[in-house]
Amino acid sequence: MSLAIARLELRYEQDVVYARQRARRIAKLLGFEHHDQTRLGTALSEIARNAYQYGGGGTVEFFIEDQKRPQRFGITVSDQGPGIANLEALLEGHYVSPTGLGLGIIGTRRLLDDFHIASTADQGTKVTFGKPLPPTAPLVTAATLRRITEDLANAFSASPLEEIRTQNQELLAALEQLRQREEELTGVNSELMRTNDGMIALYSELEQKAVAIEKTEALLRTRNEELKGFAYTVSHDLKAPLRGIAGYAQELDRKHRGGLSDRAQFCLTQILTATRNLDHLIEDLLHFSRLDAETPSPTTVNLRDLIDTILQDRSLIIAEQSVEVTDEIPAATAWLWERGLVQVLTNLIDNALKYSRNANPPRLGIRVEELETVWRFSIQDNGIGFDMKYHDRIFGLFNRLVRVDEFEGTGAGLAIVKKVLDKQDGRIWAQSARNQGSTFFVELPKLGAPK
Amino acid sequence: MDKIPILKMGHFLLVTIQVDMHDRLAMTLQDDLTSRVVKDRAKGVLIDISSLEIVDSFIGRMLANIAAMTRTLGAESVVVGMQPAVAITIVELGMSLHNVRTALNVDKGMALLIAQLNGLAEDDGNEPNPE
Repeated sequence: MSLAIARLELRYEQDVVYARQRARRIAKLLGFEHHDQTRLGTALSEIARNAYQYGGGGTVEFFIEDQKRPQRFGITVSDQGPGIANLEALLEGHYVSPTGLGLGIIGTRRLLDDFHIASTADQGTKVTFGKPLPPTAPLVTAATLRRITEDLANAFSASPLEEIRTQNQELLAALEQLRQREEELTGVNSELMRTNDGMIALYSELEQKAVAIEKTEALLRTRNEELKGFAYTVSHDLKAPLRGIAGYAQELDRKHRGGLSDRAQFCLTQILTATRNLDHLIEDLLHFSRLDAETPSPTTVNLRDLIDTILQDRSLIIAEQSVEVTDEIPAATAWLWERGLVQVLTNLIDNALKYSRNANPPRLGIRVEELETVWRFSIQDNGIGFDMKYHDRIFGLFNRLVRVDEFEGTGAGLAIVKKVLDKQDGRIWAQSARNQGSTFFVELPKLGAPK
Repeated sequence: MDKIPILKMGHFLLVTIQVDMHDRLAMTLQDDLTSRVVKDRAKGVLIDISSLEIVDSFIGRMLANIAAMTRTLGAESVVVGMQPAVAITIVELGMSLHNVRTALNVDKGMALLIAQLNGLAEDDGNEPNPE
């Protein structure tokens, strides 16, 4: 079993010098006499130079063989170089390289008692040589080795060149790392730049779109204003000629009916009906555009009173059609836009009365519920109902599901209701089926209490 | 890169090697010395190796080269102060330094060079061996 003393890498020219200096020092510490120190140093100098020059660098290991006397100081130099091709001839002394390789190996063998060399092509060369410790030298133990290691550390590690070289290598490694890091960073950076370019492009696109949207919005607002004005003007201006037509038709009807043929009388009746319808239509249109311009302003509303008033106004028609009216209204006041609510309920109740007038008997149910965040109103009838597939269409302006000669009307009612509700974030929907009656539900958000 | 200093003393160049030279440093010394012999028109070179603990085949060859080159340039060189252990090792290595004049110390070496310069080379056993 051998005890390792030290190990040294041969990477630079100066390492050959370090190796031979260490060899001498260790030999001295182990108790070799001066001549032998020089022999061992010189031998290692030769072999280490070979490893550095021909083997591309290598490793030097110092060790003690055997733990009992006689002990032997050994040195191994190994490299991973191309190996020595003509080792046999070289060892026999027939060959000396132009640079003196042969002389080194042969000389070293001559200098020392034991010398072993093994070389494999392309795998490297390993040289081991050494010398038995002098008989006078003390036995080398682990403690001796510790002392030697300490001594070597003191003697050599302080070498400024060594220090600088170590630092240099660390610097080189750090530089290499930095370079890699920088490459990575450059990669990431260029990726970021590409992403950034993409972002900028996207952003400017967004900006263009935003500008376009803003323009469109402004245009739409203008158009909307124009349309409101237009609707108002048209309905208003239409009323004057219509009044003329209606006036002359009524005069004809009242004063000159006797002089008309049957056919002319029929035409006159049609004209009168049509003017009445047109008048309603224009009235509704005016109403619709006026409502659009109005801002909801909430007040305290007594729901019971409000609904009673609406029903009171319709008592004649209710009595005439013998409608069965039921209601379920909490005795509460609500903070709501009264005009809007009246508008909504009036329209829905009128519709219910209209479309259920052929039922026997017609029924009208009114119910008000106070929910957590909304007031819910439901108006139920047992009228003609409608197919749920038309549910969304019935809230469009002038959309009607029935013919005017069946049930009169302009188709503006539910559109007005919808508009009123939209203005105060309300909601409307219906539940119905053909000939099964309809229930309209309205929800109005509870507004903050008055201050 | 460090260098071994070369001193001029009259007709002679004086080199004292005080560090353990790595191979490149030895080669530099060889080149420097040859240039200086020409530049300073030196008649002799004295190399003091008393501080060298190890002279291996490479440094031995360098010493032999210096001797041969300076002689070619008309200057004798003398190596002085070789330690006994170094001498033993050189012989055991099988190196022949027979072209290299040697002297025991600097004084003897200087004397040798001066004698050489005066054409009165003494036969003190340090004569180069005849080929």
